[in-house]
Amino acid sequence: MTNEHIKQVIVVGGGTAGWLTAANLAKKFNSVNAEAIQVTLIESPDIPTIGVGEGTWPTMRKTLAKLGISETTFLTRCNASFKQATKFVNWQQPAKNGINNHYYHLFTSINDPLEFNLAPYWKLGVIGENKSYADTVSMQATICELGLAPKLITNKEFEGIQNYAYHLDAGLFTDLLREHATSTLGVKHISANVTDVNLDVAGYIASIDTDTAGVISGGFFVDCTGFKSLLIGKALGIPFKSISDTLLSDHALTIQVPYESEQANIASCTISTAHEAGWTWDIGLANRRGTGYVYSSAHTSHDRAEQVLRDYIGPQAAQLDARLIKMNVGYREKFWHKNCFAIGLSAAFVEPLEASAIFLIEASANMLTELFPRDRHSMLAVEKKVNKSFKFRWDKTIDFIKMHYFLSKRTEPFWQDNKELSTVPNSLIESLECWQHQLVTGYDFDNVYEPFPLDSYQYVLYGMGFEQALAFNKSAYSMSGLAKQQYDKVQAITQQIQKQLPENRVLLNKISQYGFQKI
Amino acid sequence: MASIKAINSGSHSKIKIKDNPSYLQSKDKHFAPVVVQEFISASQEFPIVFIKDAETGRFNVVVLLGLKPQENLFFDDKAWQGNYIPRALTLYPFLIHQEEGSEKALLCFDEDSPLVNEVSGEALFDENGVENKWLTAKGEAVVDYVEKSGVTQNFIKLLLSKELLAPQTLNLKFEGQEEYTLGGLYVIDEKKLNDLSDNDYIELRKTGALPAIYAALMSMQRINYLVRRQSKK
Repeated sequence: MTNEHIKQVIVVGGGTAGWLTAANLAKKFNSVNAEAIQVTLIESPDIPTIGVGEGTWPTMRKTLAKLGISETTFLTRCNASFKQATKFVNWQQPAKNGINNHYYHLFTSINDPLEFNLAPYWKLGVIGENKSYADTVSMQATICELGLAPKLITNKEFEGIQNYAYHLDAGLFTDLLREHATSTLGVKHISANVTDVNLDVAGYIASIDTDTAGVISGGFFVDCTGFKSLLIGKALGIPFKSISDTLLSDHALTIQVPYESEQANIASCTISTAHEAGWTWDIGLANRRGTGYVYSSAHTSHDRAEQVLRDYIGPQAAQLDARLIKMNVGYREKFWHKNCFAIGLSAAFVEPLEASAIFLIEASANMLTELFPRDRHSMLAVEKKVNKSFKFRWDKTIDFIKMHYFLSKRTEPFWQDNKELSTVPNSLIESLECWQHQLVTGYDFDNVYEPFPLDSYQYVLYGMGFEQALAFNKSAYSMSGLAKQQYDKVQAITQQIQKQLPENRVLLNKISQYGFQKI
Repeated sequence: MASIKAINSGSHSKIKIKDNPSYLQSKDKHFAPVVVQEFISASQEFPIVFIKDAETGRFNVVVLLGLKPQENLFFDDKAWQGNYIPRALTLYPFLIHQEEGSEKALLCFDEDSPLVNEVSGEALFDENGVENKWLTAKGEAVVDYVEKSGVTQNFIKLLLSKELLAPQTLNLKFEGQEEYTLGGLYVIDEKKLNDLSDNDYIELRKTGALPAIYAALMSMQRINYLVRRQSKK
């Protein structure tokens, strides 16, 4: 058995995770060729999919291009829009006298800080006096404040003047992926409910029983069954490790908000606003806003939470329904076990503060396609690699999210409890201790697959008002001339670019009328 | 600024259009539109390149009249300094306006054009308000050009569907001046053309696209000619 080549991959579950993974595998295997490894996706006709977040990372552009989905098709079919940043409102401290404070976590920096880091010059007051770190190193915060798009209609598909990701309607995205995967990439689609998972004597998954499509066997199984975790959890018994002692939020309330007019402009970034017992997201799609309040039920009541969200939305909210989602934050002790890899909610879930869900699905699908094992024997080594890699990525993601809470100066009980040292991972405390008198450097990132790059840390640390004492080593930062030159360049581009870029709505209208060119 | 008006005998009974030997509207333009039917003639004089419309991102095809923005090397106050005149330049100040979703096309002109006056040139209408033959001929020429533009758009679509266009950046340096690049240009990719499958190539032949494709390819030689003209300035 161990040397039998895998000829058939079964993906169980048809949400974003299932279809993205199936499409990636089929593309890589070239499954349209009958000789190739085949991919079959089993999707329940009865279970509605959960839209995992509606924000992506810039990696999605590469993923779409690789799968052969045109950007025009993607944007118009998924009511998608451009995301250039996350704007964190009132995270540092509550609004004072009705005046909000904010900072930006941007996708674009003019310099690669690994090559020349402007941060110490900003921190020491050499450049950007009275400007935020984000405005010192990038024009993108200004672009976001003005609601501008990251590109022009004359830019080709997936090419940006600014780095950008997307806001998308996850349900429509799944529909598009399903259509593309089955019609173009050779994925076989079975619509049926899973009734049982059959293991062989060695404890590997042998087949899946379904209610209307019989028994479906395969050599490798991907568990995309969401929170139910039918394969990795229920059948293979891999335990779920809760992290609710680190990330305290356990519920989300969501409300979809229509625009006040059809031609209202669309925000260029995700807006994350801190509140008394959690934070709200606000994501602008082409046709509506998606909002939600992530909160801790130990610190607020559901009724009070709904009031907070409705107050945030304003008078418009009176007509709109809210939906409550229970969140189990944490991850499986193993993501890959025997011949099964869990991708998506079956593997892990953290609050969508940094839009990591779809990104980690892409990362899982990429790793699986790159390392796809020939047989059970070679599977063992891949299993080790994958588990190590994703344990690392999830831990880093959790640390990064926790850092936002830990650095806040808010004083409500929820925020106080978040700063309780017993809730903070040691790895985060160690890093922050170093960074108190030292820059974030390349040495903090010894893994190629770090989910968040150096500049992401700088945007959040400096945005949150993190105290970093560099003066003791001031003389070491001797390239003030170059720093000033780079700073002036950023300011000049900031002035120039806002005259060129159109508003998001204007560009999206053009895209639906004319589309982007491929070249 | 242009002021585009539909022509009618009521408001425009006294209007005359001056002769335009220098094609004065092209003075500050470093390119002019062309239609595929004139590629062969135009290729003898100008490089034929594809550019994106700034408003729509869609491809148009033009001839380069100069190598610097807003500089036309063929313009002269007295007479056009080239052997060939792109047809589009000869239609000025007339154009066709078609309402979206309407079959009806209106012959219009730019009322603010310096060619428009009441003293000299060709009168649009006679004393009885009847359209002059000269205007009728102009109108027909504009209609003919619009039809040819449609064919040209199909030609561009064909090139795009076979992925035959590729971006081309011109790095230019003239004596005593800083080097600069003329970007946003697209040309036919000769290698991709040669690598086409037999079926695709036959399709180009059957649709009559090949002469135009080769004319555009050969017209690239004219860049050197423009460089020489620019250097002599």
